[in-house]
Amino acid sequence: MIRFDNVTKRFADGTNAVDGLSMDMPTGEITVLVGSSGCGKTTSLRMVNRMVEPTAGTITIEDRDVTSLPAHELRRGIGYVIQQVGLFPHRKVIDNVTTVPGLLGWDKKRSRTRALELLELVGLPAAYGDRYPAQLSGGQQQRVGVARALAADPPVLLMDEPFGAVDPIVRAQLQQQFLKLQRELHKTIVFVTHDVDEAILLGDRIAVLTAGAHIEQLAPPGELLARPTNEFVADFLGNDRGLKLLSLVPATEVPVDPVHAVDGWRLVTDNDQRPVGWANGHAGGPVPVSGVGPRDTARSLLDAAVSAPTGCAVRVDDDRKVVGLVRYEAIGKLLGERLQAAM
Amino acid sequence: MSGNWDVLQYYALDHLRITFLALILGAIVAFPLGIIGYRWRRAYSPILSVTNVLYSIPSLALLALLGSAFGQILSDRPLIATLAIYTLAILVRNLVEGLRAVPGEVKDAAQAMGYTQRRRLLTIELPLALPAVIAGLRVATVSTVSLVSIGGALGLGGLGFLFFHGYRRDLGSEIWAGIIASVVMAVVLDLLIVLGGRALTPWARKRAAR
Repeated sequence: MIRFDNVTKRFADGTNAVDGLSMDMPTGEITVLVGSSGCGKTTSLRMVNRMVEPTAGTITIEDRDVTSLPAHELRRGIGYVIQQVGLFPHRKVIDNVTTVPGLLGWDKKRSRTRALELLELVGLPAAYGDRYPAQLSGGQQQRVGVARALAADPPVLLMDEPFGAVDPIVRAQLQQQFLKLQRELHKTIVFVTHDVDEAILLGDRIAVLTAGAHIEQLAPPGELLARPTNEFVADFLGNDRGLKLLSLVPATEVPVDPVHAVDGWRLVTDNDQRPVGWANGHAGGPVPVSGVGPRDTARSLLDAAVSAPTGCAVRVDDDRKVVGLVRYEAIGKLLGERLQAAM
Repeated sequence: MSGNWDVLQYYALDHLRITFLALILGAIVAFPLGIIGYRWRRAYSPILSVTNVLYSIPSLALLALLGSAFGQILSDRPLIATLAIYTLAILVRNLVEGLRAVPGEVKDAAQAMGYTQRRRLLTIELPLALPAVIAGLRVATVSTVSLVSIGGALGLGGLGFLFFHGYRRDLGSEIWAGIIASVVMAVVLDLLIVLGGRALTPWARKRAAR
């Protein structure tokens, strides 16, 4: 666990970037610090590995004060991933990944084996190890950045808007891969972002911060969405809190009606039972539709349902074969139940 | 003609020797000055001013000054010292600018990985500053090769001797021999530095398809 105890950071111009911050970041969880620019979230993050030294207060990791060892030693035990990645351009990818093991004095063979393991873990071919960072795309570079941060197997990972510099498609891939990684590794992660959707997707607990790193609310995403403590948090979460809450619900939790027709419309499928479209005898062929699978969310179901002429989403299985239909009313009902339960 | 060839070779080698000594001395002095100018911003401007002022002193004047300071007019030490001083202006500047050009996120990441300041300077910042340093070295080398000739005014300075001697004796061929040898030397040294630079910076030539 990382604990902030009344931590303050005052800068030369007299402003308190961080003003008496106290919070716990539980071991093995992703704690997200979210807020608008200048609220002190990055400064707070950087105080954990002493890239910024607090003016007052203490920070402890597993009850050990971060000032109890020399800064460079502390940092070798903490992974660090930043938006611009910061790979060393003059070193090959594999040498970038073995940076911290090298600093810790691991023998070369062990470091190299570990680096290759990590490249695989982040989804890069081993051959990329011999390339230079400039030869990789932005998304690939950030994967190397994550591999580098994990190389010495640090218990703590600090991430400052790590997926901000890539396009949305790559960002989504990186986020999913990151979640998968965390399910295996259970690191204690502090994650800074200004993107509310990213916070909700990735966070086990989210701290919504305002100026001075003041905590408006600290809660798991479901609770945050269902019960924002004040107007600021509600505004910050956006007008579509209900929809965002649905994005936390797996599609599998919504009851499916195993029928293939509704209200005069018929679901047309191909020979493999995959959905083609909705037909009601009108001219011009079926209205195309694609299915929503078990790995999607209730939010995707709702989107599919309201987009369809029938108000129903088509649920498919992992092979994209039709399982049944879901009416939008059923999804609405589920959301209502969830919100009630949260109250 | 073969006698002339031997003469040329003698002076050319002497020229080369003086060039190398001047560059090495210049580099040895420029390196700590550059590091200081990089680490302490407030020191950089005064250091630059001093090297620039020294650079602006006319070469023969500086040579004479150092000659009397050394007390040995006829040795080549004042000449080497003069030439070394002239290289400072460009070597210091290029070293500092090269270090400053290292991307901030790279320095940040290096520090966050757990590099000590010294190790970071030696293994991350200096290697990345190499392209700028090499560019400065090329300029310093070519200009030093050219400046060595002023020693000819005092009977020193390798090929410079040929210029002054040829000028006094009105031997055009001697002057031309000196010029050609001088230029060839500068070009060859420049090429060697470029090739050496490429060998030391394999990352600089690789780019991805975007």
